[in-house]
Amino acid sequence: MQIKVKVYAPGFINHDQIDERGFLVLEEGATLNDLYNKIKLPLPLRLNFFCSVNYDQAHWNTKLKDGDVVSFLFPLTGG
Amino acid sequence: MLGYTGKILNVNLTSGEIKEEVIPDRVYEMLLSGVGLGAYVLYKRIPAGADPLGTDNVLGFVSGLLTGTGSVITGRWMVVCRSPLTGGWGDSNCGGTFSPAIKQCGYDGIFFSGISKEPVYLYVDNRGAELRPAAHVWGMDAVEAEQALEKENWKRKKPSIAVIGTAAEKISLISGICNDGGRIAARSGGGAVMGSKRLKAVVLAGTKSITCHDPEKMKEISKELAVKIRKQNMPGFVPGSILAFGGSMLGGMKRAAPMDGILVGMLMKRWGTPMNNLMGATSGDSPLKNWGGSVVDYNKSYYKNIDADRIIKRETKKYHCYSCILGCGGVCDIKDIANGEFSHTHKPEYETCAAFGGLLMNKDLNSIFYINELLNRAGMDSISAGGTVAFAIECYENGILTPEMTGGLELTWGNAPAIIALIKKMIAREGIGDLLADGVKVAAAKLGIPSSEYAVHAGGQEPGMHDSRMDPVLGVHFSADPTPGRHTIGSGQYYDIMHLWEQVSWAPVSGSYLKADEFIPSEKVALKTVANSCYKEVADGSGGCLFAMTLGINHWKLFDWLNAATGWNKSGDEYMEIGKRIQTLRQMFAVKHGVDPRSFRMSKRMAGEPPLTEGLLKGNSVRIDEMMELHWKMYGWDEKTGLPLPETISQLHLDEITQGAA
Repeated sequence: MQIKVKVYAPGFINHDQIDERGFLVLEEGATLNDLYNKIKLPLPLRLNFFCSVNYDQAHWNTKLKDGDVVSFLFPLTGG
Repeated sequence: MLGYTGKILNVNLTSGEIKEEVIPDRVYEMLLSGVGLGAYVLYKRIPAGADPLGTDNVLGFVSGLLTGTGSVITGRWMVVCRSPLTGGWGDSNCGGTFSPAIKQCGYDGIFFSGISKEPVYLYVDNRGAELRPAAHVWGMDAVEAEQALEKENWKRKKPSIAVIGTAAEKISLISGICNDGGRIAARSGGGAVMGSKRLKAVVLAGTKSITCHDPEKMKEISKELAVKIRKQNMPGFVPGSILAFGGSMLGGMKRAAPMDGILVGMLMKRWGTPMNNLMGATSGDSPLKNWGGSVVDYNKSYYKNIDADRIIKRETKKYHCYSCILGCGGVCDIKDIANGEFSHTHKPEYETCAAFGGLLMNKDLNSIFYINELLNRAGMDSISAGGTVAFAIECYENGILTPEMTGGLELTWGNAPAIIALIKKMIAREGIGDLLADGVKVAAAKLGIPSSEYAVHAGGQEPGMHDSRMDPVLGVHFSADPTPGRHTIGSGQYYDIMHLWEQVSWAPVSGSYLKADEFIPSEKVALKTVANSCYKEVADGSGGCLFAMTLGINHWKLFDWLNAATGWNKSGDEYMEIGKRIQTLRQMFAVKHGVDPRSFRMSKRMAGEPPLTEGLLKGNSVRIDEMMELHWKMYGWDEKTGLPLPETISQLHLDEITQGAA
């Protein structure tokens, strides 16, 4: 079984496995850390407050489920 | 019960006549309220070529369709007029408490024509409206006048007041209209129009209820967003200096991708707009040294002084505009600076910090606090004022302005005391200040130098503090919009974070892409700029805030709220068509008054002509002429001239709406 999660990650992250609409496929039972590894997230950005699952701050061992939204904090300029 | 009142109030300041007018439902369905309603009234009523400072110009204060309906971050009011600064369409919006106050008086907008013989203010409550003498507050700054009028008129309810300061009384073309003790609708020169009409203030004390179609649904959508925002909190141990690191990463990125705006909420809640002070300097977003420098010049030894932590350290409490759940503002007491003491003042926003920081190579934060207060009280636009000081410094350095002309002021980069002295002269229109009080375009013309040399502007409006050489999409909005130089219409980053493609069929999906691609003119990039500006007009018709837009359409559910407020059941595409209609009407307004849209093209320096030779933006230039043409083409306007095509006007039913225009 596989699960599909929506990922909002900054442009410098490896997006090879994220489709145009932002979805990433993981194995069932995958944790946030598995996702970090898959997108090759640099270690300093693995701090809790940089990442949320469904808008709650999430620990690296949080188990992901189908339809989850994983978002990374990244600055916005321009207004 | 449709979210709007269906009525406006018309005030003729020459005759003193005050009359209500019923607006047909169809107008709201076609143009919403807010800026759309304003464009409808002004297009019909102002005769072609009317003097922006004359009797025929109409100055409108309009509320958003969603204001007061139970939606959140939709409490902005707008001022609309023919702009004396650009000659075309003028609008500017502001938060605070004034927007609901308009509707609580029973109106969606209040429109002023004519010129009063003596200074007056308008008072409105549930019983009606009347013009009252304002000689006793004429000459006061905006905060003093607001306090005096508040005391005079506070009966059952604390009134909401929009008021001009001394800059607008002296018809400075870069003056705005203030409310809530230092918020300001600063752009387009609306203050000068109000000053020219001798209208000191609008005082609103109505208590009528604001109704809508489905209040329960409104609350339900608002609650869903509030729950998400409440969870976004930056841990206290994270220092503001991390933002410099974030900016460096952002500036150095080769690729961009859609981000989740909700998480940006934690930055806004903690620091407000000054979160961009360091990020802007290190990413290339903040224009430096009058758009001629880079972070090599304005390096860490400079920018560390404007760290957002140093600003919020002075906050006594957070400030929320009406219906806002972010609360990006801050109230400060300024007691520890050499220049002056002020209590209960608003903290300087990013735009002010950048305009009086990096743009002038100034690292004195105390001076920025003080200048912010001077400008808020005088009612002068801090973006335009900073741009004009930068122009003056460059003129001084190049011998165009001499010590004799400046009254002995040494106008050099980063000379904070001289900058403060110059701002005081501009506010008072004294000496060199009189030359500079109308912005860079007028000053360059008076000095007889080519406007493009040091005068950085688009169509006469000094640009917001965001660099189009970093984000070329921003350059299109600076140049091809009916309100040129406006940083709030859109940018590449805004597009990526708003996720319009989720609800608008024609908005291009933004996956991960090379940033360099946005520098290449294409129909895809043009569709992004069209989508940005259509959406902005829908938000401005609704009373929405830019920082809500950047939360993303699936969180800040503007279209869903509009349907729940009105019962219309329109799709995202239909609302975007309304945005396109408002935008096209604003462009028709500019053309009607003789504006050549091509003349709004941003200054060469803003487009990187020639490009910078060092820093993050080194070598970047924007193919702005081609991008403007594509933007206009995708709007259904003539791509060479920017004139809306007759078939587009007809398709949008604008010929029908504007029938019988003056």
